[in-house]
Amino acid sequence: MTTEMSSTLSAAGLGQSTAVSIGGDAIIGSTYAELMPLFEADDETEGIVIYTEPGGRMESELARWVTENDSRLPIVAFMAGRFMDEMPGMSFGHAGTIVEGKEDTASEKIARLAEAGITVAEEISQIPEIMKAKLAGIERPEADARSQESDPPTLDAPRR
Amino acid sequence: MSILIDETTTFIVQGITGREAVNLTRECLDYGRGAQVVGGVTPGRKGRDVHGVPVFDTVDQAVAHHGRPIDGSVVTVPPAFTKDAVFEAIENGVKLVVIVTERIPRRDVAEMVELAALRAGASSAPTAWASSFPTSSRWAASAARPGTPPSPTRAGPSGSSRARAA
Repeated sequence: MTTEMSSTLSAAGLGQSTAVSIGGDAIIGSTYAELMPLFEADDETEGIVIYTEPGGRMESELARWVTENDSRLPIVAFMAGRFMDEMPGMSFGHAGTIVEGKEDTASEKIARLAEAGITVAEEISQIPEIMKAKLAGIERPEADARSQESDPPTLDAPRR
Repeated sequence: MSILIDETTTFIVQGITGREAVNLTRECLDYGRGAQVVGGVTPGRKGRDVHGVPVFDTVDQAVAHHGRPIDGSVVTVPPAFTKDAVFEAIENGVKLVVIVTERIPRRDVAEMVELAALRAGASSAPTAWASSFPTSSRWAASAARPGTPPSPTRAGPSGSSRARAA
């Protein structure tokens, strides 16, 4: 899906500073929240697109990070497998999509992301449009204020 | 600019003489201005080359040949040996590990993540530690269950290796 996201964005004229495939597993090396400070500190990164699935706690971690650190980056998410909410108890696909509780369901995750100001696209094809609107400052009246702060928030500045 | 890697990032390919790794190496070398693939590792195959990339028996030899620390490693060895390969990379100073292999036992993944965190904590080097396990233990549950026949491997470079902009 990393290539799909990249090609969708590229086709719409949105280049990518970095595309990371973090994997869909129960245990992974780098989570959204761990990668966020790196993107946050990269002055050529203007926005973030994430591809998510039901199951796991990574999205709530991301939502918390974004809220706590007052992230300058607009984020658009796409969540595959929303239909899973209709079929509780069924287990789908790979390890990462195992839903352990209500907190892991698609609708709950979407609500959590929305609270943090992250827009969840219904279809992949909508992502570029939503991102362009966000970059233009629509839906984000506070966009002007953020350009004044030059230092990335509290976390250690990454270096690669 | 990019995070994690850029055009100056040096890396090795562990398991470089494997079929998929050979293709992956070619694609890395062809990407943009060419990725800095400074070596490959396959035990017992020292002295060969893959598309001009020298092959070594160990990561240590690859680092010695390069003469400087190597930034990253793309790990393409079979699931049973992946943990060993990743440990070797980490202990030889590699800062970014990308695992292409699928069906790694989940316990092994946990140990790899743990060691990565441990070494990152001990390191005061000015480079960020980041480990990426793109498709590592996707089928770990079935792989770890005895008697489950392995399904055909969907091996191959994950999109990330090509999609990252230099």
